Amino acid sequence: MKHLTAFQVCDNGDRRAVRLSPGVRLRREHFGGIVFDTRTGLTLDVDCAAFTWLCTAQQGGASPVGADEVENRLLARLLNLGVVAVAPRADTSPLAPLPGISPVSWPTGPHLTAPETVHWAITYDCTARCPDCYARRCREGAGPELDTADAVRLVERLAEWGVLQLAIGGGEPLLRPDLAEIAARARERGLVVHVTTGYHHLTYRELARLARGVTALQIGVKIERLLEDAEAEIELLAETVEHAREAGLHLGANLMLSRTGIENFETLLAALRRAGFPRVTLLRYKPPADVARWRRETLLPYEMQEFEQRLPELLATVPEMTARLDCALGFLQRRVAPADALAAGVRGCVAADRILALGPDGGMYPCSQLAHPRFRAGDILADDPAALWADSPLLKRFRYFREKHAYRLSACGVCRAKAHCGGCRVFAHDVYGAEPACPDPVLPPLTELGPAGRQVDLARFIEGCNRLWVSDYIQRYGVGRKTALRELGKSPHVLPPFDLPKKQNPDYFLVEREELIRGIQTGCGCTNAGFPYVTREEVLAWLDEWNAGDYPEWLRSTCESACVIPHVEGDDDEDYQYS
Amino acid sequence: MKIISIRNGFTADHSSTSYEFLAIDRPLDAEARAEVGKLSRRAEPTDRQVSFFYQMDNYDLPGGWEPLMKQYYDVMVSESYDWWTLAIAFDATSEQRDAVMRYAFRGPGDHGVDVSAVDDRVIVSILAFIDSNALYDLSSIPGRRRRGGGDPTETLLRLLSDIRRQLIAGDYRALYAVWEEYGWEEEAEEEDEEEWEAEPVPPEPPELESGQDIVERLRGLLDNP
Repeated sequence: MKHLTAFQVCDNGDRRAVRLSPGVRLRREHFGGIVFDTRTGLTLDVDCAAFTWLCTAQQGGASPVGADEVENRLLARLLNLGVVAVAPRADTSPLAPLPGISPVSWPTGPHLTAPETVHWAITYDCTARCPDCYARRCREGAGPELDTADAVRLVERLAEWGVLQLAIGGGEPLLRPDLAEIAARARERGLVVHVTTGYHHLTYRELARLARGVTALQIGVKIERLLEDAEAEIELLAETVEHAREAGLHLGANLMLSRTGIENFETLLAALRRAGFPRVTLLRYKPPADVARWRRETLLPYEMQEFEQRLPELLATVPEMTARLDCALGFLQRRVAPADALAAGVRGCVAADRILALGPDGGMYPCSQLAHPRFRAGDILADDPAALWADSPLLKRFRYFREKHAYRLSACGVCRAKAHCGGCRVFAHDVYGAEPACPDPVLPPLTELGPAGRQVDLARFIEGCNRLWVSDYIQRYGVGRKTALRELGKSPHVLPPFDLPKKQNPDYFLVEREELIRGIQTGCGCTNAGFPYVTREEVLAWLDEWNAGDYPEWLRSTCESACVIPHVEGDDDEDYQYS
Repeated sequence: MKIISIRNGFTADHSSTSYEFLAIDRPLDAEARAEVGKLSRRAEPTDRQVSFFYQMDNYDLPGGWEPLMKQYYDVMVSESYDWWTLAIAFDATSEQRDAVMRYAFRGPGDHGVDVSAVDDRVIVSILAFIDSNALYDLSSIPGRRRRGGGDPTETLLRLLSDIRRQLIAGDYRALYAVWEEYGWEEEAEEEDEEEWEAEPVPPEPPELESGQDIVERLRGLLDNP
């Protein structure tokens, strides 16, 4: 029989200690703490006892681990993940007293003490004129971008606050000549820096300079260019991939799931594979300033559903690449079991919860997509960020959206993936509404649905029907007649019959959407034989157009009048020269 | 004392999750195959077997693998991030279920044996690291001059089918072999002796000659890095 203990990791049962691996940062939180490996980006949430244990490993280089089963299991896991390592024999030292790890010193929750990651649009300037760019609409209401001194001050503030990662984007961040300097300062202060660029081609010199401060580089793929001149673009990208490897940068590609992106998904993936990208992150198509462009390029829910089904098959064609999903595509992971999602740290929307966005002027927003005057919470340099983070009603509104009554009544609020998806708040109606792109919320069994869940299911159930019988509602949801009549009377999806006598309960309800379609058809006129001039499908297309493909309500007023971005001759970033 | 969640970072560590299911007792009819096929467009269930493969982080079999074992399949091999799950399901009496339950345990590295029961169906899963060299050797086609040539997954499915027969017959040597590899006996510190409550140790099965090769095949595959 074997006798295993925590120390059997060492040879001959020698009880050598373990210690925190170099580059691993600890941050205490109300639930215990966050463990962040700056070398790999691995992020763990651990409970109070585990966090205390890790603090010991950090301070003394010695481990309090005994032969306890739970501790043994944790130790084995942490060793396997590289978070702790067996200390060299010479380093073994007696346990140091650990001041400040008493239970009273844990931060009070329920929010984190600081964001894990800050997304900073360091500039909105860009010469590329990409038609799908969303940053252009963010310019409105934004002040001038910070100069180098203030940018460095911003980095200091984030480091003091305890932020772990800084993701720099734009605009085009590489247009800032001081980017490498700012990134290097951030690294000195313990932050892991990511940069997203739209440049397909960067030289080794440029990348090596960046690599002094930047850990990971994401290249936003310009779909049109890659499709129009595939060979030339692949060659440029392949060179950049090669240079990035030599410079020691972790590299990935961002691929936008616009209609064009999805229609050419296989081709684009194959191109990225040929270029040698080890990782691709799939991004949701975000609303650009041009509403007409949005209507053309955004996907309808059924199209998203088709793509969702094909996705594993498509990714199998590039087995050497790792694929990741943008948090705005959280609904593609809605079928993951909630416990598995929690264990894998899948949290869906984490706006103002794990992340914070900053504009070029230091303005604070819940997420980079919500960089809009309406959602500005404060100024990172002028205000106390920790106080704003804790108390700003606006940030709290996004952080705790899942707890609000209006949200709980929405399709996302009754979905079983609520905790690990929640739906992207950028697209949701008035912050608390349902995610419009999700094709199929995961509902509990019909008889376990509450009133809100029944309304969500009802909308799907009556699709294409003219009327709904009360008896069908009773049978489907296992409710009594009184409940059925009450809920149907308040339902936004059905109407009582127009000719119903007063004080009489209806036996059926009319489906409102079908009534609307019929009304439009009647309004457009009919042939002598009574056939409408306009088909149902045509009316549905009009309605979709009228809804602007779910262009977010809060953006409509800003962007409704926007027109196609004019192309400026010679304005493309053919060959970037980074000075 | 636990890890609440683990999130991968920016390192492009390529990973995948695969499943291979085999039905031994009852082949799947067309309706059952259609149900299984709904789980993935790429799945092509035959009347006995089906495979699933997921490449995306956090993309996995909808609803998990257990419902398939409960309803359709008898053995399953799954590999994810070099972590193997070897599952066996069979219809059992309450006595059989209680007997198998005694072999459930988790070792320090979370390896071990899980046992779950729904109605009269028992699902036993062995959670392990597999020695890839040993699996390669075991999958070698006899008579060939060079090693290898066989399908490692088929090898594991065959081994699990053999172990399943033993479990149904009340022979738990294979599960005990997993305990011997990954289990441990805890010893109380002297001062804790009075309060010490040791983790239950599975009963040691009687030694038998017949079927010992099956147990040894499994033992040879289990890795404990």
